[in-house]
Amino acid sequence: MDDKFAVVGKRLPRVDAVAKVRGEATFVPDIQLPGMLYVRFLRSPHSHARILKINTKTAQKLPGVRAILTHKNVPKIHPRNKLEYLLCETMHYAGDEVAAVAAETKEIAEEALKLIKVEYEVLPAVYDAEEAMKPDAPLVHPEHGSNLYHGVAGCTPDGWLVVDIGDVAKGFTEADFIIENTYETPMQYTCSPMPRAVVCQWTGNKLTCWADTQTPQRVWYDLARCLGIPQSDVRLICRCVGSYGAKEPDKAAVLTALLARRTGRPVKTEFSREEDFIVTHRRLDYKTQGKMGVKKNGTITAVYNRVISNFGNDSLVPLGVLATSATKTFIMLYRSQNVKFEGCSVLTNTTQHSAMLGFGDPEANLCMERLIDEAAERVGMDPVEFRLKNCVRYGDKAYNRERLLLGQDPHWGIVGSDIDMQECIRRAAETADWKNKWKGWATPMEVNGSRRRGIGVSIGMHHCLYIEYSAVVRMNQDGTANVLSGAVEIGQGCATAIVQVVAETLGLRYEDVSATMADTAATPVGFGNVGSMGTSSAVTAAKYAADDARQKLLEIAARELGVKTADLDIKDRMILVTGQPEKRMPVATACTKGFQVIGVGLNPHPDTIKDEKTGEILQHYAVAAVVAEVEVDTDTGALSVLRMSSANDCGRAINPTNVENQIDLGITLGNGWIRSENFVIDRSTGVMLNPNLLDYKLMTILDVPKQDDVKKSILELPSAWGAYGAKGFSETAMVAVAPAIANAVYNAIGVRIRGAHFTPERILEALGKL
Amino acid sequence: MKRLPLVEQETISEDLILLSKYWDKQKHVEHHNAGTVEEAISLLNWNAGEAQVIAGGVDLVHLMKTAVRRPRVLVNIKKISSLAAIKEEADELKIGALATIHDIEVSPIIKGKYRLLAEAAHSIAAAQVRNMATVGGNLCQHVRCWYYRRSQVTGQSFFCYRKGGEQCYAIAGNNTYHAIIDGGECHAVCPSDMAPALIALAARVKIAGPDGYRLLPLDEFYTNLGNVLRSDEIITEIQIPSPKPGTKQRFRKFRLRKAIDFAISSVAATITTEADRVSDARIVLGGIAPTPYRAICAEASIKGKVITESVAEAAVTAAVGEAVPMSMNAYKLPITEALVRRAILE
Repeated sequence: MDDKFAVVGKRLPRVDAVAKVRGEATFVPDIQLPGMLYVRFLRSPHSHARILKINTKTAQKLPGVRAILTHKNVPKIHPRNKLEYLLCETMHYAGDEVAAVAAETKEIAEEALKLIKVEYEVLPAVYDAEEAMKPDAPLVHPEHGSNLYHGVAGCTPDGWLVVDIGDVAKGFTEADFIIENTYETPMQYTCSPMPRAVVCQWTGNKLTCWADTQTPQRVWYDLARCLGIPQSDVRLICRCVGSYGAKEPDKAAVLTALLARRTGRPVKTEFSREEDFIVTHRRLDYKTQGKMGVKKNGTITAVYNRVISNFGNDSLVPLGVLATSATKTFIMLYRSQNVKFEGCSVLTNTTQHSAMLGFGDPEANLCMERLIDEAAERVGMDPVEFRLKNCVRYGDKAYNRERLLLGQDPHWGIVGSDIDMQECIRRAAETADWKNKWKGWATPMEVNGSRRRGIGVSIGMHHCLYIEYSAVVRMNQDGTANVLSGAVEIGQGCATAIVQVVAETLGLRYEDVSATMADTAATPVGFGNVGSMGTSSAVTAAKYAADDARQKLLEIAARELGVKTADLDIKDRMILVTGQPEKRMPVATACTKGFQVIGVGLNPHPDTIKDEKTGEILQHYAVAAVVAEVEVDTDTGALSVLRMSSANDCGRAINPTNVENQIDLGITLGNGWIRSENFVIDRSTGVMLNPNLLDYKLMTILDVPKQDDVKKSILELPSAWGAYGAKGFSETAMVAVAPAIANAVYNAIGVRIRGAHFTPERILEALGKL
Repeated sequence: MKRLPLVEQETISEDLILLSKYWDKQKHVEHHNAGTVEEAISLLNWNAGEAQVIAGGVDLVHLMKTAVRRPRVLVNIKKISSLAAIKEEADELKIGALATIHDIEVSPIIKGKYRLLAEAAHSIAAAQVRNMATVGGNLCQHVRCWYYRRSQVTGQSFFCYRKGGEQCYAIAGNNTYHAIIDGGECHAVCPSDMAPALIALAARVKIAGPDGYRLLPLDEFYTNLGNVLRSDEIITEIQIPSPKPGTKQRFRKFRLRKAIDFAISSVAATITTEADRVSDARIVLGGIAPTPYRAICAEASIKGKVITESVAEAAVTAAVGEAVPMSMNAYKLPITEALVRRAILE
């Protein structure tokens, strides 16, 4: 930690902590407006069906019912560039919206659902990606022409995203060993602590919408476009608690606004947990055919990966997840002259996929890191050494996901000096005592009856997007400041980081600064908190705004004190003149004299952020290394994760406690993803069988290693773009967790599990006990 | 004389008829507090078939929320304070049906002489649930089968055999957590953790009904589709004979998570040895059959013997001799075997 800072780098309590602990924080479901109506959705029991007849007359007559929307009376619009309309005539998955009822109470709305009569023509459906690729498979969206999604410019006409660097065929001929296997990764439910909710209210022709979204700009734009009103007439206020990627109430927000307009009443939509499971977007699952060529000395000569993923029936980010995998983990994580990636995403009659923490990199990494481990074993190198030799580093060519999706050359810029994967690996290995614990390939650390202990390592990377973002800092007469930011506090501590950075820059105390987040009537509108951009982009913009306000304050003080601004500094609420301690002015006085001091910040274009040494454009990444120690009971297949060491780079830790909390999040999600969570879809009906928190098994605090057994290392190598060198890293903290466990399990039991789950069942199967 | 119709038939639209039927229906559940056992029985009897007993409500409220169960009347027995006692009387432990799982978990009497029960209680759900859930409710809880439990609220329920339908969807569907023994028409497993533990301790249940009380060994309480309780009967008490000196009590439960999980498989065992030889044994398996499964063959195989690894192995084989795993739950077999082995040897 740097002592030159007064606020940044300090373990300060989160700005929202007290309100949340005391139950005073308002979430969207807490909003109560006079005369408010409540929405319930009628959902499709079939995973593929056409509505032949729908009769809402009876339901309409039920006292208390105020409006019913069906595909017949809503405009035929797509909320985004999606495949489905707001409400469709065709149901594409079990749970698809058939109708929306607004009524005086939730109970009346629920009763009304029972009175809506629907006649369906049930259509053939398909749930498995590979099944859906077969020529005779039913088409999920016949108008799309194929089940292989091909709606972006960057893919081939038949739906394949391809990145081809060097000559893989030549690379494989140069290899001493070729390792080839198929790896699978599971789906995952985002499980935000709060299911989705939206409240809409019209005043005249102006709409106010409260939404728990992490992407305000998109929801704001969608509302205006779908409702046919100017964006200036839409006020979107974001309230959010936890998102993990899926918080985009695309359809729900527009339908709620339509119901509010039709009834002239405020309307609230609130999903049940079960609906959230069925309807909210899930993590994409991968089936990856991976092939790697290595020389005896551990040099990787060629890497080839071919991915098939289950798209679901629709997506807000079509092929975006795949493109992220393609341009990062599969291409950049390990250095090789010859790399090829091919991937497709297949439409099925299951719930749609979307972003989820890691956005393609955990999926790719769970395949890639198991393949790498097998390659290292074949060569006979220590897995830590093998990774140290081959991993990504400063100066490597970088690849851009958006450019790939647009059909442009994905190579763009280089990897900056803010990442040091090798140091991350060394730190993780050191804190895990790798040297003493690693006994060799497939050699357990310890055997005690049926219990075997093993250790495994993994590395990982993900982007931490730096984009144009803006913020405003408003100085008040008493010397305090308000920051207006378009970012959303989704639980990760973005508001706290903004307040710390602004207080530091203005020479104020932590408690002097207050942040207002994501309200389109008050703040700039941010793209959102996705791609770990909260710190990389939003906090950076707040720093620029604070710099601007600071400059203005100094100009006022310089004029009043008769000195140059260059001679001034602000410390602890006081503007000081260097070398003249008697000359000083409280910030409050400068604020009063300036009458209205406003600082505005806008991040410079990403392409202007260049490497000092080479002059190349810098891309934005965070990297991590994880070592896991596990115990497997070979009689029962029980898997315990005993210890984990996680080393992460985050540029600068603005609040080390929040950084550690994000590492904990990554560890918990990474554990649950492969050890216990399972998105169970019935094979014959396509219905999700476990949409509740008992049957969908999230890890409990007892199932992850205890705090004393989790060693967290934070590397602080300043980024070229961030405030005080900070950058985002939260998603990266998950990327390397699952593969480290997978590799440790191999070390313990001597059998590779290449499937998606590491449950007792799969472990017993691997051990040949089934 | 031509009679004038009172109402013109044509004016009554189809949806008005539907709505009038709807309005005639009772909207809210009737809730009665029973002050005594007799009152509870009389309320249940009066509302035959439409009433449901509620105590902790842990299971029932969720079933009602998902519309799997729709009782018209709820009879709350939680106010009958005499049913909550845990007491030891003349070589017998008596647990009132309203004792909570938490009460059992922390009771000094149970922790001392009936450790098996305390261990089983501690393994149940999480602290919040244990505080609310009663032992009677635990014994009578409904199966956790995800086809049976699938909510009607989102329109995706399965009309399965247990609900009066024609088929068990788990047979062709996902049966990861279903039965490996005695599947029959419905392959859901009895989810209770208390049941195997109580059966291992030779517990009896005291059942109150319109004709008074009856006592039944807990072994005989369960049926493949539930239990023997009639709609106007309730469990009032569980009676457990004191374990003989030299009785080893073991409870082993396997689950995916360390909390908030039902058993994938569990074993409750009481093994009495006299002069190193097993004189009596009860081995009860949970989570693998529609009822708690007494591994009688395993019990017989160790009786009269000195416990050695090979004796235990024979018992393991005997315990799962009847197992026929379904398409996706063969993994329960090695797990159950390991639990039985450990319960006998450890």
